[in-house]
Amino acid sequence: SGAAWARGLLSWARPERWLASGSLFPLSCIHTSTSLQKIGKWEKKNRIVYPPQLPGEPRRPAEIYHCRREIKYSKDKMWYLAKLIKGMSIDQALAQLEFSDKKGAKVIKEVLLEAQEMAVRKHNVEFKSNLHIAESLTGRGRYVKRVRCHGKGMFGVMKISRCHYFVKLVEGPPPPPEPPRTGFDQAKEYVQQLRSRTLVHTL
Amino acid sequence: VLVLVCSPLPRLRALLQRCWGQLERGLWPGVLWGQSPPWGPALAVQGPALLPQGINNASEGSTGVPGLLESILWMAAPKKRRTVEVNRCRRRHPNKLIELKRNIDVCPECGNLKQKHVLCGYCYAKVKAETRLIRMEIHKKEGGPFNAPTVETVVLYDGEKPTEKDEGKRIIERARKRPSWFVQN
Repeated sequence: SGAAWARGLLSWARPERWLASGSLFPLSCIHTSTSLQKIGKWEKKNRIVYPPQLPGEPRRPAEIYHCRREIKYSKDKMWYLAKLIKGMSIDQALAQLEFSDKKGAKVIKEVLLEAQEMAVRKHNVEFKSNLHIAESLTGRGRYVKRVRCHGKGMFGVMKISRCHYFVKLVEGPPPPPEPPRTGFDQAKEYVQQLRSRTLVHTL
Repeated sequence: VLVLVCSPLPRLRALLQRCWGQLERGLWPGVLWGQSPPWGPALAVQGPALLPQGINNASEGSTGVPGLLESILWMAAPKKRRTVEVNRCRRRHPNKLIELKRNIDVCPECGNLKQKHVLCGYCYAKVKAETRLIRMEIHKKEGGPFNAPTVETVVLYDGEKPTEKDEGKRIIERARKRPSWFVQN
């Protein structure tokens, strides 16, 4: 029993148990972010809560923000895929990505499916097909420099690039595409500018 | 996995020092030091019209073919840095963007998406899995390589009897219900 008491004492005195979440008192409300690094700005956008809408206001469409960090792909190459699916409905985007030959297409498809599921489960979206992609962006991840060997003992420094991908889904059908600006529109705007000129520094 | 990362600075410095040394010793005569070229007459003298050496020089001068070392001066090199606006215009040109695919349809069998000129991926995977199991049964029956019989093969599922058309054919049994897509003759 003496050995058991000593073992019990030692188990209480284990240092890693104290430093479990960075605080000595497990019941305190102090959060030290040792495990989750920094919560990015895009992830925080899902946390905003609007005040309840008044009865007469039009219904505010649901917005879902999702992202994936440190994807092993180049941000410039990922940008082409992000540009492809900007403004499409989610079904059309998934169809295009499924038959695209790019490496990033698989990653973006997973992100979109995750976001769709999140929307239905947590963000009170009724129909999972009634979503469209309002924004889709890429960002630069952490680059790492490595040595690339050439012939004759020469070497170069290559950078292994990673990227982030951000997407914002909004409930509702996709907005109609903008008609291209014609020469007539440009001329009208020019005339409007000329007409809105006023005299300055005069009486 | 051991990744060797060595700092490139001392090697680069050594390389640059080597190149600089070569330049100073005149091993790259094509690169001039900003002064006038070393040849050219400093003094005009009345002499014979063509020196014995002059014929070769004249012929070389008239053809104007530079040697390998002088041609370094005439290699193509960018004159100015390409600005980010110019780069963007090139990278975002419509011919560089990914085209929208208009040949995507819905498979009538399973409901997944498929391209018009390609078999449905899901249905193909289904058939592939079943074919693999049939092949395993065949392998078990044959026992080894080079034992393929000279007759046709018929696959029968649960509760199916060989008909009179299947006389003399090799029969492979599969212990499951016949799949709907595998039509029996």
